[in-house]
Amino acid sequence: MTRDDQDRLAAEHVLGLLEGEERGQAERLLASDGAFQALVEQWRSRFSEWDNTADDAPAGDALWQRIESGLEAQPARAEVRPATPARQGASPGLLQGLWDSLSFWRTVGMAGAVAALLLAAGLGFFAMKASRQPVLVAVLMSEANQPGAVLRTFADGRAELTPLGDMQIPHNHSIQVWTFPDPAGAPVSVGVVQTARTVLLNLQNLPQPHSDQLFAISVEPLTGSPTGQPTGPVVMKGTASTAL
Amino acid sequence: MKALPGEVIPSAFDLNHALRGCARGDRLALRAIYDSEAPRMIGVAMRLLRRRALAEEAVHDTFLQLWKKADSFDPARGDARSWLYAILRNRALNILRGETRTDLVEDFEPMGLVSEEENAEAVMMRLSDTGSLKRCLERLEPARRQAITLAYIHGLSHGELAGRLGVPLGTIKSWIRRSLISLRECMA
Repeated sequence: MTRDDQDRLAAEHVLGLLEGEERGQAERLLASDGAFQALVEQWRSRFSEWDNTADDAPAGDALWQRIESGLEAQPARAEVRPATPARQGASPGLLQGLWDSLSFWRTVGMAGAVAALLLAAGLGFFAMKASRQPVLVAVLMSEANQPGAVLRTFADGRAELTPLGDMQIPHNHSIQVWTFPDPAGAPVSVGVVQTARTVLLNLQNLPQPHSDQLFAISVEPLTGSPTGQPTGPVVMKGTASTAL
Repeated sequence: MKALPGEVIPSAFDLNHALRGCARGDRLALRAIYDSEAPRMIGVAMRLLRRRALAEEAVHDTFLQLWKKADSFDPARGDARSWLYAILRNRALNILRGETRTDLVEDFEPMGLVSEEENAEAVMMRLSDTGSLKRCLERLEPARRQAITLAYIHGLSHGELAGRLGVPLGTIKSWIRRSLISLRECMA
């Protein structure tokens, strides 16, 4: 591939025009090829002027709160990094300079504060982790017998659904999660999901879930099944097992 | 935006600094990015996705990725803002491609072709006179300029551009390619 081809590929990647084979090719190059990354970066910066022509839209607190609760679902940063790189064999002049440097001491002071915060956050993380050992885990399998989502229930009655791989929810639809507290009874809805990411489900009003309990996901209208029973196709299902 | 060491950019929000804060797990730094960038980010995502709810979805996901990846951002390899908007565009384009595209097109179909055309020209008029993009776009023929503008800001595919501008697919592809060569030379 000539450099001109690569440049065209980089530009069309940034424009979002690539499809099929070429799209995969650009993604591979972007992950592995420094020269291609530089071409992409150049086009991003050339086109970035367009971003400044978009109208600002008010960003409310509701969206921020959703982002914050999304952060909770991500693992906390466990790694505490040294605030300043270790300086070995520093000359006395440099040390003297550091000693006299206000910004150095500011950094150290800040780093101390940050370390204390991280420690506090870390303690919270481990305390939280202890209560986050799941009680039951169900791997929901798709029609093609591929794992499509993992459902976990916790001792405090909460449950989480994590979609796997490239689960796609059809446009203008949701997926609805159902379970069968009574194997012979009707399914009960435990959540309507509009976006493929980890979500909390509501199992609070149900009897304590048990191992072998069946969970299933059907495709429904955006706001969930209008009838209270699955109306769309069941796209995946699985039974719960005890987590050890 | 390139700052020499020691150079002070007056009153500019320091995204690099905030990203370092995020890499340390500082939520206030993330909030500062939100306050400073989210309105523009929603605007950019709205142009691609048309609907507020989808745009917010893209911005939401971008902030989660930003939080996760902040420590891998390397200022030596690129501009922080362009990194942030690359994540956003990527996410928005993925949402756009994942959806049934005809559904999304319906929303702006009533506006018709004319207002779309004006739109691309209006967008060009809003580009900064000090940047080179405007000057270099002005050197392209209006229809080609429109094609590349619509591709970037609305995320239209080759096929959608062909339909919208009423020219064959092959023509669109070659317009885009030639426009890119011209832009690269002009903006070098």
